[in-house]
Amino acid sequence: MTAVEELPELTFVRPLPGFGDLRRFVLVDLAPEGAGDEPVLFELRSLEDPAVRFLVAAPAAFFPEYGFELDETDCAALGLGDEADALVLVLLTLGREAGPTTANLLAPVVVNARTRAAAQIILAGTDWPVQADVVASAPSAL
Amino acid sequence: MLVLTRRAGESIVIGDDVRVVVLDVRGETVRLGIDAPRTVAVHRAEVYAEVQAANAAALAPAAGDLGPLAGSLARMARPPRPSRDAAGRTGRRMVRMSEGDQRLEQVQERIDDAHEAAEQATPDLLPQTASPADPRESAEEQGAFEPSGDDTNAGGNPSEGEDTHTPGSADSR
Repeated sequence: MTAVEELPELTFVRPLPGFGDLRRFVLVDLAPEGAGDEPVLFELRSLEDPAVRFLVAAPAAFFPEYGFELDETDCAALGLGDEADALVLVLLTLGREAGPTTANLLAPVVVNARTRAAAQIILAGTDWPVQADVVASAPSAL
Repeated sequence: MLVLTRRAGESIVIGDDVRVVVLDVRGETVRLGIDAPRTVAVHRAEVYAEVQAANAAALAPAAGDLGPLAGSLARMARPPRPSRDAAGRTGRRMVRMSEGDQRLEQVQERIDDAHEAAEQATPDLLPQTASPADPRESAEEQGAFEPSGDDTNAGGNPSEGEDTHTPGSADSR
């Protein structure tokens, strides 16, 4: 695994709700060595509290229909001037007691890939669920 | 807790830069308007609490390698789309900017128009999938802005085509 020190650091312009003042995170690609595919799964790890880490995913691989509109305030907070710079990630919650793994589509993490500013955006006025079943949305057979 | 009585149209100020206006009171419903700086996120309390709880639940186990788990989840992922832009991202736009920012949209439209014009001018030279910059290609692109440049339909109106040009491909040239 790549050493944390070598990884680009994300700075959350607003802390994740429930995680106080943690702002400095790194994104660790969890793809196996040599995998050629576009990275899909990452560990989002706090640099300030080693106990805080999340499994996050690029949602397109699991939820092809997922998309949203960022309002002006959020774009400004992230310094986003070009939607192509927006890297979208969703937090996954591992299934407890054989339950399905779920993704939080209501509050995606948006990263400005250019500046590495990040924020968890709570999508107001949308119906995206806070717990979307990852298994059910994946194709049954490949 | 500080308790204040306000009527519709009146407001309160929190700190130096947050203003809450009572817009309307009807029965048990109060409509509030909030002016706050961009760094201050404003949410309905129950939605914020829901996200807080979801984040706490999403905390990965402190010990152990997430790699194997990621591997099993990755097998459920859809295969990457064949069509990607030059930056390697999948072609579809996941995030759209709010329509509030007209200026950015206009800039984007100009970029898209330029791309469409360039593609019409050089139907044979532009590959279907974006490729590394080619000197010939950029020369043709510049030519596309001059209707009298050559006898192709460079001066024609760009037609509304499929949305194959992402901002990423614009950046890559």
